[in-house]
Amino acid sequence: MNNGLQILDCYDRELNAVADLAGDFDAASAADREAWEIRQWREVARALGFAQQLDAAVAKLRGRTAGSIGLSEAGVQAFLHALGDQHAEHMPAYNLDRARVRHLCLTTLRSIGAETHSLFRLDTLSTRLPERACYRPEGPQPPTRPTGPIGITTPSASGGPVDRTVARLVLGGRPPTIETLLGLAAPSDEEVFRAFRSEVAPSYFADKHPTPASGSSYPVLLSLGTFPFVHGGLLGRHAPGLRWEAGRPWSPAALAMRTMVSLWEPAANLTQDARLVVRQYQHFRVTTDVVLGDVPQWTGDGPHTIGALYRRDGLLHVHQGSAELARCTGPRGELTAFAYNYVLRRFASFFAARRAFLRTPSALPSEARAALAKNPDPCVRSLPRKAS
Amino acid sequence: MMRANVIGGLGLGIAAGAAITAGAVYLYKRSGKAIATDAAVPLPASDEEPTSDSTDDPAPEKGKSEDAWSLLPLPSDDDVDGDLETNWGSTPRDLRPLFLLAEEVTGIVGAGRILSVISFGESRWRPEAHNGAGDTKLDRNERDASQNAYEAAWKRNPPLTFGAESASFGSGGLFGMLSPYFLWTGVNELRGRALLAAEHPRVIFLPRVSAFVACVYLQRLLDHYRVDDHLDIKAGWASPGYLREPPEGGRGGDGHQRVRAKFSQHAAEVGIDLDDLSTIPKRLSTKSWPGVQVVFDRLLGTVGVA
Repeated sequence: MNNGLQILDCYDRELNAVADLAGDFDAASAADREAWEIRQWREVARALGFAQQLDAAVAKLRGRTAGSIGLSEAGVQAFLHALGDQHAEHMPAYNLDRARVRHLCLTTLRSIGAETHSLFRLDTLSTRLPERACYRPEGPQPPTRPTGPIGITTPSASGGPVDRTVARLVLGGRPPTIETLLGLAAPSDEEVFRAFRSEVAPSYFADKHPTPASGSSYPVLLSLGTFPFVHGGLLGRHAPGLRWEAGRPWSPAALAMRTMVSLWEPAANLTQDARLVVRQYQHFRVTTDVVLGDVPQWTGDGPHTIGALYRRDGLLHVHQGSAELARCTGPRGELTAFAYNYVLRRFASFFAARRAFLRTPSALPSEARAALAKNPDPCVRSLPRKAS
Repeated sequence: MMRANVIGGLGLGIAAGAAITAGAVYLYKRSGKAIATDAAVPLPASDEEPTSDSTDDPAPEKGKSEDAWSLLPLPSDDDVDGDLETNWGSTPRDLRPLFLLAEEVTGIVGAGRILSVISFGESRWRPEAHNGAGDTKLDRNERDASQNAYEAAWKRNPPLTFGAESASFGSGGLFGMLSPYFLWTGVNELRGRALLAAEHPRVIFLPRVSAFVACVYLQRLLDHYRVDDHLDIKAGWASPGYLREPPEGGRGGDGHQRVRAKFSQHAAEVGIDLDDLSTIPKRLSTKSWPGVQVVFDRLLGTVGVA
């Protein structure tokens, strides 16, 4: 397809090649756009293990006036169905209160992300979020299982990593801090846990965060555009977002998935300040290049070593082996070929959608055009006027 | 050559401040009797010397089909019909289609998940796992085992193009197979013809080839031995002798019990419920077994038929 407007060159000339990983589409054609979205969904579903549920959901949509909203909801439902099964196999002890707080926080984070044009990767203080993004471990247990049986297997028994996304905060008996005096910390006689990992250390998504984590006041940094790999320091075999347990009516993983796929749609995509995504992508590329520096390029004529890692068509490829098991370890954490490819493809989806939408701005729905007009990104603000 | 090929490919290089561990070799303890052709199904006799031992011609560097097979991709979701999401535990998603394809081509319902647990125990799902390439006691034992296996059977089996290499190879691959028996797979069913006899033992690292051999071995265990439950499959994998009654065999003995317990532990570690009847029947059945040649063709195409 003719790229026409090379809008992505405004940020970084290599972004067109990145976007090509997700494929191109004609945003003026509803059918073309839907076919592209289905391809993105299939990629996500294959990687996360709900391809069969997704295929069944898409098949049900056939014959209806599907539309992207129907597809998105069907995809999320397929994801939830699979997540229930995965929880049965991988989840540590159930905690409804954590699910509740995460869900409430994500709801607020979505609003903040839309206001600040930073939905792709959110960065805010826990003190701006409900209940300071902390939960009580003795929270109420769920009356029923929300999505399939919930196992009580230990993380080590299931092969997954220990969940380190929370830190225990015992505040009782301590002298009041400035946070507590300002009402920013949890009550001093309570024992609470952080609902999210506070990723202030350097990661594959960003450098060290300027604000340190202190008690219940901590930076909440979530890369929802690459969900379920929401933390740049946790790009291993197991995506942390898949470990966000659910309990009716709380389902933070579903909410995060909805947010991620909304970035494939015009309004949310064009609300996002792409400069932030570009910065995150460039950081990801530079920091992963450090640990992947010696990985050879795949050549069609070989020779290829079984089990070895190669760069192939912009992604990582493990010859005759599992991308989930091929991993590198650097100062910013573990990096599996599986996570690398997944994250890169999510960047690609965002940029491919952005490119397609900006190619035909006059065909965009009014909500999307309004979002575009409010976008602070100088690369896009003048586009609707130019196009018209 | 072999060591460089396998181990060399595992070290992916060290970048500044980064240790790359993509191909850690998982060593595992195995009985040298694994993959043995069993006495219950006599092998055809052959007085021919192995090709590589009996000729002065320089041995080829590669087996007949190694290059072609190495280009075959791992099976994908599109290659299988069954459920890739239920009761697979932590089996890597990109390897599930291989295990499930093995189940579907053999008609042995439930085999996929059993093979995944076996592979976890034998190699931690690493196709390049190799015992015999180093100089540890385990490596030496595995080389001794493959040497003994070769010497015990070369006279009655068809010659191997890479007989000497096979004898000194040890064991490896996804399922921890002992090299000579690996290359003689199918010799009983195909009346003296071994589909891998012209191959270098390093084809053991190719997942599809390894899966083919695992399928045949599983079928032989189920058809020719007393397999009481799924744990007995792994006992037979370690040594068919564990499935025979004493005093000839070790059924009920410490070794038999130990292997069974370990398999059960591996299943728990992986997260595959061996008692989940919706995905694994109580007893695996070979009633739909299509034959060695069909399994070979469906896993490896028609490339490389000996």
